[in-house]
Amino acid sequence: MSFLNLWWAAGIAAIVVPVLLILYFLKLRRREQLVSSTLLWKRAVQDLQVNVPFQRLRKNLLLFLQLLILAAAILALARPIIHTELADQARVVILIDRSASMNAREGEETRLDQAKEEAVRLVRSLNRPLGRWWSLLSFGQSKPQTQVMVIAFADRATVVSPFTTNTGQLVDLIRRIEPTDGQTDLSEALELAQAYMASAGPGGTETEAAAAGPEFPAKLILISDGKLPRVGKTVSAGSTLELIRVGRAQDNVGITALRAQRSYERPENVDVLLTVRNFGPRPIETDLSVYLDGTIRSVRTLRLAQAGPVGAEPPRSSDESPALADTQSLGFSLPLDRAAVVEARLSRRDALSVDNSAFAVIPPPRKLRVLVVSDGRYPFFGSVIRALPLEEFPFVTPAEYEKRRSEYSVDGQSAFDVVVFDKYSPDRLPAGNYLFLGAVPNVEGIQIGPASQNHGLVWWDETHPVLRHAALEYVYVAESRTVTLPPRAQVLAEGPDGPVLFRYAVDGRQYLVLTFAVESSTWWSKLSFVIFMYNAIRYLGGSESEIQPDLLRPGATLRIPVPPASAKVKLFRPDGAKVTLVPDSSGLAYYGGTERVGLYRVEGGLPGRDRFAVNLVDESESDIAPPTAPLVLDHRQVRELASSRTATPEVWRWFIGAALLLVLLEWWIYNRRVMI
Amino acid sequence: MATTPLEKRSPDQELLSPEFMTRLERLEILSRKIFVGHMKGERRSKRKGQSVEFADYRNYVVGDDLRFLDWNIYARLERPLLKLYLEEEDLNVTILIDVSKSMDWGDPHKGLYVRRVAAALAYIGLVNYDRVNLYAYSDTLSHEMRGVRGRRLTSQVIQFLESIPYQGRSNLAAVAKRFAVRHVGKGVVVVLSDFLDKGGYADGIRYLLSRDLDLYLVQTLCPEELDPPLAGDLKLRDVEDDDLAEVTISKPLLDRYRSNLQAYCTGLRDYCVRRGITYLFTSTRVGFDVLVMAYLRQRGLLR
Repeated sequence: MSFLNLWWAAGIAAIVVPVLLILYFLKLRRREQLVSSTLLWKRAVQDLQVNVPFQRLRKNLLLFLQLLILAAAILALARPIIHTELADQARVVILIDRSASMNAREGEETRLDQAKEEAVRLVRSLNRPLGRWWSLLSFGQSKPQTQVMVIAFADRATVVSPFTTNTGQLVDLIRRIEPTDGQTDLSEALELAQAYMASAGPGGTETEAAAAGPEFPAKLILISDGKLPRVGKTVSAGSTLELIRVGRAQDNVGITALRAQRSYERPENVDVLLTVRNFGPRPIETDLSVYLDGTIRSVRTLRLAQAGPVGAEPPRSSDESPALADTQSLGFSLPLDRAAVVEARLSRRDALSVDNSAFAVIPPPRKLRVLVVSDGRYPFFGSVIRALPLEEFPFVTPAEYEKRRSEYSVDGQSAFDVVVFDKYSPDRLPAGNYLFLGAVPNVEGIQIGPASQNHGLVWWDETHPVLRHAALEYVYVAESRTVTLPPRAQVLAEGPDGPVLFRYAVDGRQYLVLTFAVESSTWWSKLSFVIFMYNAIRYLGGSESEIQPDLLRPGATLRIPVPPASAKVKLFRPDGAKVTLVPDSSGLAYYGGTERVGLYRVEGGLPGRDRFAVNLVDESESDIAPPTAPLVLDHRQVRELASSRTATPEVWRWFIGAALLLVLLEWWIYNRRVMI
Repeated sequence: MATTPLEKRSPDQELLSPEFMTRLERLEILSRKIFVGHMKGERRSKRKGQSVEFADYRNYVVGDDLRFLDWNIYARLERPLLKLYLEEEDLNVTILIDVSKSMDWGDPHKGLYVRRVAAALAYIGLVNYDRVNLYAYSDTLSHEMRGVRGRRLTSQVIQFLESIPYQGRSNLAAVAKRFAVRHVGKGVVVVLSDFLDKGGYADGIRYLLSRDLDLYLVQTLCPEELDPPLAGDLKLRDVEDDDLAEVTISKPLLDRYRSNLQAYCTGLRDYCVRRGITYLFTSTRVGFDVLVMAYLRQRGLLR
């Protein structure tokens, strides 16, 4: 036990105790009262004095008790604290959850605010400044200070502060933790914490590094709402993880899925599909509005039942009323002949507002312009191109292409969305997107080797958009060119002697290269070739946003295509902040700071691909009801700490309670006392 | 603590109301002993004398009045026997009233209460042609009114009772000694006091007993004495002798006071019972008419 205010209390004691003693030796002034006879009074007094032993002691006993009361009160003023086992830890890591569910409002503040306050309270209670006098008392063995590290995590973990003992700085840094709309992923935070625990961390000295070895493991304190869906990690041996749970709100309705895309058959229509789910304990009714570029286009009223247990069937209803489920899926079809942002919004206010709206970016209905450079000897190739939904697709021979080269480029950029070269490779190319079939572009870094004959395909990347739904199992190649690729090239398919299909982006030019001629393989006769052509044209033509997942999750990296001419673009975040991005050599700018949900707008980007919607659409984050089951980490239950617990609790209440008990005792004794 | 001058008493403080007096007329004072009276009265006397009630026979001796010879006996037995009749005489009723300063106390007032009881007893005595003697005492017999007889003196008795001031401290022993010397005649003696006497009550009662009187003690205490409404650190001052007692009122002390008071009263009662004295305790809260009409009749003083 230590005291925070010892000097102050000592000063008060120095004043109060002598005053009490002086008062005690002053004679009691009695009120005079007439009575008819003192006969019986004197007798009663004498009787009592004779009957009670230790009569002399009693006066002193009262003084003694009063001194005890004073001592207890003054010790309470000295703010006594006790050191718990937590305060004796050499290292404490505080993990603060700042995922989307922590944005749920609990009254006036959010869960994250509560978590931050818990962390601040904890940090303040560690390394309390004690009086110098006290450290003299402990015979020079000053208690080793507790090193505190703070990590904030959502889907990614960030070190808020490395190990330090500077409480003020820690409090300041904790207060500055910003909320995110990310998912919860504890494992990265644990990895980060253990990385720091293994080393001394920046700022640690050699001796601290030695002390932080396995024999001095840290205590990890997780402050979260307990919604931790992905816990596969464990803490290292010797370290312990404890949970401080915050948050009690349950009421939330969220959009858990949103998909908006142009229908392929009628590109001027947009299909919006969404799923709304009630996570709250009561049935609700809410309006769902769909906005196009901020203009309301459709409203529907939803009635959702209260959240059932996970995986439970919706309750069977009686015949009259249709059964209410806690989940409802809706579809809207809206005419839209331009690029727009679709926003779905729930009108009801609930604890978590992040999932009450969802955005989707709809590109303009656009058909591609494709230039095909081919000698035209193989009519099936032309028929494949013709079958694609394209704006225009002029066929030219290589000779015509060379002759009219200047017409095909505008300001150093290709006038067509995609240029297909069939068994032909020009010397120079303007910036643009190119599909090479049976030819290799003349680009620095790509070396053409000897021919490879009569082989099948060994491996291909089925997940790449270009090869999606394209089965290459029975493709045999009569002759292909072996190539050596620069490291940044992306291989999409490989034959026995190396890559046969690859993607390479450099200097604002994007190449998709097939190293064998289609007619020298069996591929031309297969359906997968048509699919490949369709995918490749769409991919190169920039409409891959329809192939890409529509919905970006918070924390996802934005890949922003930049016009080849511009050196930088400006990105406007949903909160209004402006970020300037510089594209890399492949003409893409990357942005990873998408912690918040909303619409990210690019100024100076490619038209139709300059807006990005980041949505929560995550059931586990929207389900903000505190879990009833204890948190289990690596098959072990995580101990929960009481939320108000601190490392060095103040115990002045005990002293005040003792003082009150003593007052009662003193009053009792006083009442039994008789003095003449 | 009523210190109202006696003259200014309101009608409800008058000693006897006419209604109560009519009720009192039906009563008479009894004595368990038969005493020799002074004058012809309405009470049986020890003396044989002239009345209608037969008492005894005795042998004729020379000089006896021949009128009282029973001639019927003489005819039968041929012996002269004298027929004796009971004599009826008056009764000495003596009332001793404590008027020390401690009686000027309490609500209801002890002194007034005691005077009322005295007035009632005196009135009963006067109505029945008894000799009524009134003494007021504190440390001495300060006021007295002796030998009053006949109901026409009622107003004088009440005037006397109203005129006695409170003074001095009570000293029953000295007063009883003096009373025993001065008081002639026997009869009923009623002492009205609080018996809170620093000198003790035993000596005084012994002096009274020595005269073979029919003794009644009525101890009157006020509610303030039975259940003191006191609190805090006090310096208690005795109204009689300015004696001081410093007390800190507490529950144990109050309990001790009450048990002491109880023991004091019980001691007085036991002392009286052992000596054939009728003891009666009353609080001034008990109406004095109740005391007179019920309690004193139960104790045999009144009929």
